[in-house]
Amino acid sequence: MSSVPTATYGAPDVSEPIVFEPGQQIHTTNGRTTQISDIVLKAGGEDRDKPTEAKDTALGQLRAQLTTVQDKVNEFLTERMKKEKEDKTDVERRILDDGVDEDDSD
Amino acid sequence: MATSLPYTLNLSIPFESARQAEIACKTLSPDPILKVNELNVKYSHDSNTLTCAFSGVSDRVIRVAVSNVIDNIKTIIECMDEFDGKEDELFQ
Repeated sequence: MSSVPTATYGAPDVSEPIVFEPGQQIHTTNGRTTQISDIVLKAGGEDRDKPTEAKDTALGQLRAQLTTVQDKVNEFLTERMKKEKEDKTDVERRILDDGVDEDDSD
Repeated sequence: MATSLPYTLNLSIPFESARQAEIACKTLSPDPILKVNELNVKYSHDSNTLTCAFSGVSDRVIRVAVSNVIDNIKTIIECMDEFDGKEDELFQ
């Protein structure tokens, strides 16, 4: 049984399950994908829901490792959503471009 | 009619004890799933491991649900870290 938190992803277009693990890096509770937006921060906003730092305990470590897994999953899924949107836009553009070509050939 | 939920993600969280995994499971379970035709989440625990099995209609649905549940699990872990085993302590 794994002693670290893991996430295993599957989808129709993914042949093998993708496993996300915390890895060997330093883990913190301050997640990249769970902060308030950069726009708000640059405008002088303050993250009042900022998580407390992880304690030097097993549970503290678990919370920090889980934050790393959360970041990895969020970034992976956001990238897939972005790619799906681009692919859809690309198909729409091709269909529209083909339509223009047909008109031009007349 | 059963809806196809082809996008899946399984979370596996090892706690310090079976008791903690059970507490986390019972804490998460009451949250209702609002769109059952778009998302399904099953919580279970085996020994000291909590398992959350998500299945959804899209990556977007999975991303929102998983990140939200992880936020909740982190709060549960923090509560355990702060208060578990300190029943006799007086907090001021």
